[in-house]
Amino acid sequence: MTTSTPDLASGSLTRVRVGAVDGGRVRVETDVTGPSTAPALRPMLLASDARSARISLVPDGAMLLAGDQVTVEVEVGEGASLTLIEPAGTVAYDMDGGHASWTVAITLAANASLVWAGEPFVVSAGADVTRDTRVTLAPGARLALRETVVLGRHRERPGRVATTWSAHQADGRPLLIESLDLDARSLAPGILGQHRVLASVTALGRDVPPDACPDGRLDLECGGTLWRHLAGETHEVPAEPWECATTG
Amino acid sequence: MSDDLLMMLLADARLPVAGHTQSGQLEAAVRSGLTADQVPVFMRSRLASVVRVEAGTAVVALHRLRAGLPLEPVLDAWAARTPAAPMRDTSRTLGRALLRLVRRLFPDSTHVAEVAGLKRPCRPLVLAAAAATGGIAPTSLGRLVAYDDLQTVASASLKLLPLDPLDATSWVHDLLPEAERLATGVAPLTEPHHIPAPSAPQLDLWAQTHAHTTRRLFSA
Repeated sequence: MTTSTPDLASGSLTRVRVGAVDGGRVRVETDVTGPSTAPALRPMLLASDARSARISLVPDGAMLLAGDQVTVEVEVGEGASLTLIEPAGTVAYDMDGGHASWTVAITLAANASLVWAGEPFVVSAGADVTRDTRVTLAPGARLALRETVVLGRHRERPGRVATTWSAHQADGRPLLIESLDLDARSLAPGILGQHRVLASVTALGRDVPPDACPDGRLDLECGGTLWRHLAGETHEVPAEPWECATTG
Repeated sequence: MSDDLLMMLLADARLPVAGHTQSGQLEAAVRSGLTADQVPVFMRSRLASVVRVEAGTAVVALHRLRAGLPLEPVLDAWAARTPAAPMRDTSRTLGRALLRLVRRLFPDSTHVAEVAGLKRPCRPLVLAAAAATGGIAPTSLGRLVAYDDLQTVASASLKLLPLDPLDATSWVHDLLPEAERLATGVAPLTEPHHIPAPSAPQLDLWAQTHAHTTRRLFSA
């Protein structure tokens, strides 16, 4: 938990760095480390210009299986903008007593922007996965992050996913701290109800109009907004919060 | 004096601290279809989430009051773990009501004065000030937070659903071991960043919708 470097015997580390804006084109550095057999997310640069880049995180190999440790580190430099997309959702398969992890560390410099349109993360019956997200924002940094956790494939019992989520300002002040241990027992009144889909859109440092998109909207103490929707199927999740978070 | 009597006083539903205005999101839950037989599961969901946050916050605040450490980081940690603004508002409103009482009970307490000096302290911080002044141990403080929540929901359930009060009380009784586990779990905590952050997405959403409802029995 104290380090974001995975055990590279079985895990992969994907780094995406978008440098500070200086001159004609934003500097983009990506690399993937880990054994060739380990599944990894491969960054593919789709477009870039003077201050922004657009990158797709393409899964390389079947994932997520027992023993997989996927780590992604994203850094966006001062004044730069990065858009991350995922070509498809991720399925954590039956791990037969094993375990996998999915770790994301995001560091945003002053006035940097990250828009990450995450696709559904499906936790199949028998899967046991930890999913950690850590965000640090310097003054003026902006984040829009979409995450959708689905407990079980269609008509399947949920697996287990233990998520931790934290966002801090660069001075250490916490903005949003959350942990969710989800499995079949979470389908209880108050936690998820009878919904196997938990959709989240997190907008930090962005100017979201106070009365925009009120459905499922949670306004955080220190600025920032979290939209939550519980649903039976992913297609029932409304698109408005993501539009609101990325256009605001 | 043992801390038992002060505990009983603080846990008493007859305290003039506006506890009767609260349902712990049960009213919103019932409105969205929660049935009488689901109330104990609902109470358990609260113990596993928001109540752990509140109890952890109270215990860490108690430690810091006794150690002379600043409380602002505790308030920040609590707020970051409480994403629904109506829940934060409710805790602060209840904190203000409790503070009025605690100031009267302990007019010379420096701990109470310190919490009163904070900008809009949440209820766990005010409870921590009472505990620090009255010699209540961290585990007892955790018990107090958990027990109070169980009774709040049980008592509200009698106004919202056609229930036998004996049933509601037996649900509280049956969940006491869970409350004890919660209390012993948070008792050793001393650092704001160690406060547990288990969330309950449906409770957050219920708190949010309830705040925008005009026809309601309970304020939250």
